[in-house]
Amino acid sequence: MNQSYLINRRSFLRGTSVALSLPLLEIMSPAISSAAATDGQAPNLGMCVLYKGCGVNPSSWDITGGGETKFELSNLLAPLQRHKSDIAILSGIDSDHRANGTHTSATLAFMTGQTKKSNFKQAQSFDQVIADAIGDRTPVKSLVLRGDPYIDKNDSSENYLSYDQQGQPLPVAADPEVVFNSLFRGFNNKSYRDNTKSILDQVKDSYQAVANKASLNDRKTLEQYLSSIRDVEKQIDQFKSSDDVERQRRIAGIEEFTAARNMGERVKAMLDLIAIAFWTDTTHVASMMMAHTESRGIYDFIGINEEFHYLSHFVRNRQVIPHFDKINQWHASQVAYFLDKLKSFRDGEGTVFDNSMVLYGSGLKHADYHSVADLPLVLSGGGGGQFKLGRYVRYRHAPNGNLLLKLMQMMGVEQEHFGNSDGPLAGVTETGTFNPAAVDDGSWKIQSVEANKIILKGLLKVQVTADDPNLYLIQLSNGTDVEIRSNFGNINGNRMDLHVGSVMTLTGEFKKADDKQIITKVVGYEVEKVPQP
Amino acid sequence: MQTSNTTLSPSLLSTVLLSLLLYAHSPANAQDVKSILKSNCAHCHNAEDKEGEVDLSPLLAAAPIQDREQHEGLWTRVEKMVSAGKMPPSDEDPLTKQQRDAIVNSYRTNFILRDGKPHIGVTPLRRLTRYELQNTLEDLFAVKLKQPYVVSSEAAGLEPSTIEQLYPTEAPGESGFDNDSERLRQVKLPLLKFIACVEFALRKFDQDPQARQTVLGFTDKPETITAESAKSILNRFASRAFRGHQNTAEREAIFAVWQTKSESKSDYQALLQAMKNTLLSPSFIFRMETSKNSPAHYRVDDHEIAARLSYFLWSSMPDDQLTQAAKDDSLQTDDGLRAEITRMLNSPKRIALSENFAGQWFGFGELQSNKVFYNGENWTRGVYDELLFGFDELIKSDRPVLEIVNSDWAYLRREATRGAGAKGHRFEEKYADIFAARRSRVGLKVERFYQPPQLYLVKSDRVGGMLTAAGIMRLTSAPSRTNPIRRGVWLLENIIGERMHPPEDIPPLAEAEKRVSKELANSPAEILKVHTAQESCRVCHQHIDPLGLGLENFSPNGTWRTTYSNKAAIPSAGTLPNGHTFSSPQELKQELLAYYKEQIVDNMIRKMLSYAIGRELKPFDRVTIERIHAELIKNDYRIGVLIEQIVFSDQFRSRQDLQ
Repeated sequence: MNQSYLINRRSFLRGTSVALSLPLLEIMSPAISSAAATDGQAPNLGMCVLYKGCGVNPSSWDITGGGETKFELSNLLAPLQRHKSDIAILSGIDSDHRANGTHTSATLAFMTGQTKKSNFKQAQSFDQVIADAIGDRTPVKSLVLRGDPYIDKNDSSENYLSYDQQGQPLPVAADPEVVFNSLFRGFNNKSYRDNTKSILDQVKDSYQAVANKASLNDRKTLEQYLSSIRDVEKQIDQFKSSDDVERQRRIAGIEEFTAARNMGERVKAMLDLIAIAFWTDTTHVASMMMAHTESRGIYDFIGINEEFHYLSHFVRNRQVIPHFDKINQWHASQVAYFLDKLKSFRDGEGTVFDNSMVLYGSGLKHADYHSVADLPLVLSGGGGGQFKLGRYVRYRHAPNGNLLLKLMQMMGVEQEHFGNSDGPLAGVTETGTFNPAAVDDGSWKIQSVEANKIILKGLLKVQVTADDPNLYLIQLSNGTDVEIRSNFGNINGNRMDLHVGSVMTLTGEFKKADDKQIITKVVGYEVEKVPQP
Repeated sequence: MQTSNTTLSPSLLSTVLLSLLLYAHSPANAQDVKSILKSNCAHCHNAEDKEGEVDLSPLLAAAPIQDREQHEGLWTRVEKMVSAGKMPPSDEDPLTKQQRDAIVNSYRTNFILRDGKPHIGVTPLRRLTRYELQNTLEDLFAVKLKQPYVVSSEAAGLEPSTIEQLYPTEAPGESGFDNDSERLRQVKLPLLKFIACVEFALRKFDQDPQARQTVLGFTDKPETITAESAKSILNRFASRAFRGHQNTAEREAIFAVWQTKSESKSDYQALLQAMKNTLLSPSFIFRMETSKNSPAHYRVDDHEIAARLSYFLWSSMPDDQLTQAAKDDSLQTDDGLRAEITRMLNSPKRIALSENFAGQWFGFGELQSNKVFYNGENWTRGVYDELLFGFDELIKSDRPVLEIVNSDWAYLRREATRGAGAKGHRFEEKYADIFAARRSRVGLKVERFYQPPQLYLVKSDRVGGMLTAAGIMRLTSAPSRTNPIRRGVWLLENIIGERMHPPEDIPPLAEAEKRVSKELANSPAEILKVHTAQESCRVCHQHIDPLGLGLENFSPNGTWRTTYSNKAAIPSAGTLPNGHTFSSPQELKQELLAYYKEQIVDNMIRKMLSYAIGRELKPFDRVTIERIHAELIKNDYRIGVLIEQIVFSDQFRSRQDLQ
């Protein structure tokens, strides 16, 4: 088949046209009713994280100028133009600062709000906290997917985003067809379900016999098997409880998959699957790694023949920036496709989009400096009508745990703290300014100049418009900027990128050019604490 | 052995022998050792300065029991640096011989030995990996589940089989292999997908009269079967599925399934159902072993050693002959084991060692699972097979393991023989045993499309050894350019056995690049030369760069070249950290063997041992490694000896239940 879409257009049309022609009988099918809360529970929202590794080129991502509602999308966000009024771009949200500088911790902290606990145990990721809380309402507790075939063999934890309550990584499904079958075939068939159930009953008996004879140590390992059995049993029950007419009707409208032939098709197929899974209330929680954090994946299907991770190290290799940006734009275009998809499925009065929450982003901001401050994040979906969209929301060093906590609470998790959080993130469900601007108290100035040493206080900024991706600036009270033109090692070694947007007192070496001081080397600095609102 | 201040190559064996000698003479005193660290090391490696990110203060305060439980990693690092002479650094006062010996000796007493004796640690429970599951299901049902070696005219790629599509692949654990028991313990068994695999195998079985004949003893699908024969069929099946383990309760339960199902279905269908239940028992997916709940290690029983052997050599269940050998008690002696090893390595199933073990070790398995690197190139199959056949040749002909680095023979695709000094020495017929069975014919057109690599005697700079095979050169390159650093790191990590850490703070390479004149800027060698001129880079890159640059003659696709695309000549010469120079890849390989030989052999032992026992190696495994190393020296480094000695080790042959 030449059609590159996994769900072909025909089946997609068939699915929607059926839904259009038949008004939903919501009384008959509470499980797939709209976001309306049933028996006091939180609304049936679908929550989905679309992660792409490798960070971005900040000057291509950041929005320059504008205000909360009046702004122009940046280069990397441009593919989302048609959804501009349906997205919120969140800036100034930081991951756990201890994760700075590494791929592994940055990946890990993205959905846990904290770095590694140990090599063997991590914190539970927020999607799984949600899945534990509401997963029993749907046949499948959560989807954990990847579109990028790359697996890092040196550091396994780079390969996972989702961790269960015990801090163990969840197996990641990579084949769309297999996911499709497990979601919409198999247990949707009653006799298959019953048969599997009876097998598992018998297997549990033999499990006991085997476990009784095993050593203490082996028994611990075996418990994993029992818990897998329990998961499947639970799933069988859940498929049973969602045997309603509407769900079956929607599933019947979906045609078979065709095989994905490259990474592009695979990512698209996975996005289709998440959308259909939300539409059919098969699950309400999904995460997907669209790109691995050290991906050696090659985007030849959009004409880029270099490895993604290689391209992400652009500061010392500037000619790769257009290619790196092009891949990141492609990711944004996939998000746009996904939003289209969600909007295309009718659900109750509105569409699946209205009852979804979509978080798109990366665990790294500056791809080359591996910084975890001011993460690239886009929030979308209607959030059950609660999200205030069409906005560019600026924070100052808000912990990403706050965002995750906010989404968790909206999904019905009763919890007050998560990872590095200090409270649920304001500004997602209400408008207003959440960027307590760094207060210029008049003290931002050059404090001393001796020989080639300079000490100054001011606001650290990064040049986002110029061609030079490595130009940092200190803004002074008198409105002028002092340039920091130092080399990669000096900037990287001092983790400068982590503190963009902070007020700092910086000591450096400088030279004079055109009567201006230009800092040529950062010697040290002290960052002023950010007052939290 | 060459020595220098910054050498990565400790004289391992002499250290070992020395410490053995010392152990006999002077019992180590933990307090003495701590005072040595305090006076000689702690002024840099303290909580405040943390020179090189190492803080020894926890060691100084810890009680011996804490040392063992919490600080093993740190002590291992201390011992490694001290015994290799890398610490204290050259600008500090050196340790006296006595002090150094005391540290090495104390480490041996506390971490390598337990109560003065070697031990093996708690034996982990092993779960079948996807690769093992597929092989086992094939053998159990006498069906073919793997993708046949069909070469489609479109891609000539390595297509995943149905099971490889159904069941997620395991990410490797700390041991570097996907059969790492700790990693498998951490990631939950994907039970639904496992069930799907079992169902698929059963469907295949159901469609195959020959398979039914082999497993059930009849080709048809009878409506009725006597209870007696159903019981005997199921008993035999369970015995094979559980690898000889006898569990009466389980067997009765399985038979009960047949009885219940045969009421509503045909007796044959009920058999299938009972077989499905059998495979969902934990005794199938886990390699259960009888426990004595003992803190001391003891030999495992006949069926258990048979299972360990077959999963090591074949990544599959024991065959009838091996099971018979277990029943005959012949696996309890070295000779009995040796006979089975020989037989098993003569079987086509030995390909698992190349496909699964070497495939993961060298990473060429990625050509199969992650075709991204070869997208659109129609010789993936060929470069993969060069490596696969090459490693298999080592085993089949019991060649020295050092031939991984350099050899006067090679498996080559026809197009790779041009200019390679390859003498037509074709043994391909001998390979009928392994490869013919898996090479299906899909019309004449396809046969013409792909010709498997063949064995040649070679005398050339370009080929010989696996290191410079096209597949490795490809995997260590970016799509359109070579990456000397990646190649160098690959060699150090996979062949020499160093664990390289990416730099925390990358020094100002950009500035260095500016100093490279425009004409030279196109040559990676010149750029890297400037960068290694900096002391902070040089520490590691003096080891990495010569290896990678020495292979610049190999293009990103592994083909031979003498100039870059801009006509600049490729410098084939280089200097190793010991000052030895080489002027071609061939000489580089020879120098590698001279300079790093002990480390290379040590690394090979470690890789194969951790694959065989399914876990990351621990300090106490060192005794076994040293013993195997000594055996290899005595036996020309033959791979057969390596395999045999691993099987003879306590780690492989014995079991310990408790710490």
